[in-house]
Amino acid sequence: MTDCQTLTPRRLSGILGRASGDTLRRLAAPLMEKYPVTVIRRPKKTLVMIRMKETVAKADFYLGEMLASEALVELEGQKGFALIAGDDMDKVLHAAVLDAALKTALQERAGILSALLEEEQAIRRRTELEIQKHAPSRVQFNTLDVEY
Amino acid sequence: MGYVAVTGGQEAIDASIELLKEYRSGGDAPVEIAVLRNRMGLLIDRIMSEAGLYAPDYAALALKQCEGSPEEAVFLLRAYRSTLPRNYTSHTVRGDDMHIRRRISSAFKDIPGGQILGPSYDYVHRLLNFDLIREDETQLKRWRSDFAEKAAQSGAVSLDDQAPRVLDLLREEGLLEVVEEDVSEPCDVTMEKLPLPAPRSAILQTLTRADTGFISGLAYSDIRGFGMSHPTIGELRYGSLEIEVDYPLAEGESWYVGDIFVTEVEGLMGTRAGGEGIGVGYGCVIGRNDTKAIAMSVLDHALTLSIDSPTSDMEFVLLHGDCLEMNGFISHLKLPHYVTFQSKLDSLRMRKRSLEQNADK
Repeated sequence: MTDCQTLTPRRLSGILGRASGDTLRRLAAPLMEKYPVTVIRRPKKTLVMIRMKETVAKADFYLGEMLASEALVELEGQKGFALIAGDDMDKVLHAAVLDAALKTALQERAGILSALLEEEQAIRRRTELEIQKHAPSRVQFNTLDVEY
Repeated sequence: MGYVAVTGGQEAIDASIELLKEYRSGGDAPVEIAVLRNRMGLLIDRIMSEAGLYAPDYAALALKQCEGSPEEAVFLLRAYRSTLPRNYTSHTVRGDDMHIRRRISSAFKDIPGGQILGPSYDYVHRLLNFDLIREDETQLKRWRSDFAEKAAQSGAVSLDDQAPRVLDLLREEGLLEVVEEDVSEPCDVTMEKLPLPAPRSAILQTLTRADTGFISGLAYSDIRGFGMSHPTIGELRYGSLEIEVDYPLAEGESWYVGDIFVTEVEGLMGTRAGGEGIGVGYGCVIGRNDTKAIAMSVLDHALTLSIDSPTSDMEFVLLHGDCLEMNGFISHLKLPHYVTFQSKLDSLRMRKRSLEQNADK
């Protein structure tokens, strides 16, 4: 089932990656207790090489690597994937379960989607607060009249 | 003389290692990883940058393990990194997409999007604050809460924290040096030996991983007179970049992995002899580190100049600034050199005897 157009993998991962591990556990654990989840790729650490473009010759170069964790699961015939910065193995497993769950027709799907959208709003508010914290350090230049 | 087999020392080594724990655990206040990560952010950033690994918790752990020695912490992170598989390469990220938290220009007062000072020690008096000796954690939390509340009440602001590049104005006007576009696949110096002359991708990767002190010193020497740079900071921006990879379960879809914070600099380096347009040096480093990013931009440009200067010597600049390599090499001098040094003494004694015998004749 693919009727979760409101959450592309990019958007979903933006929520899953920024949400707390506890939030994801609260959403995924009931599913894992109720339905069989096949762990295709158990949570494990991996590196993500960061490719960056500079501005002088517009050349790509490697800035460095990022520590991340990945998992691949199957729930109700749907595969779920997650790759999240850091080493929280529970979080990445729960994220993969949620990715799979949103592709199923399980009755819990709507509730999960709703909760994730609420989480997205909370993330947005946190981001907004960060921007607001920095905003007063914006420079307001005034050109002074100088008399010699 | 012949080789001398030496045994023993293992017990002393074991005792030395045990002493490290004694030294590391002095006092009665535990060092929590979270404290190091959250309150020693600039040091964590430096370790991650020089290790080439974005892993704040592990950088904090490394610092705890080695009494705060940057070179040991970098060593630990590099060693650990070598045990992990690299299953992904990110989509190409651009500084244009940065969520900006600090942005300044020394070249222009008014820049599109404005200058944001952000968190910086540039504007503080360097006076020891003795109040911090008895800093009250409860009061600090209250201050943070008040600060957040004040920010929230400051009125709605746009969520857009991105801004166009300052140098785009000069690019559009045709005032910057024209540089041929480099569309080659990037070289990865962690997987292959650094080629010389190095391609641009290898230069930038090597500089961004380099020891902060090394490249800052080299850049200083370049500006002070051993090179040709006289930079003006076109733009320095600090903020986060979103790291994405391909989503493996659906073609053409992306997956967000996390954010990294970087400092990026475009330095205006002047016009090279016989050239037209202002040359630009580029610097980008993991974390909040203005000095290293600026120094990188200076060296990036210096390495394009064909002049007789240490900072324009690619081998000199690129092969001596890796934290692990340079400290490893210096450190190896502490290893036993009993045989080689004895050999030197033997030669010296023989020569001395020979001179004395000749003098007696």
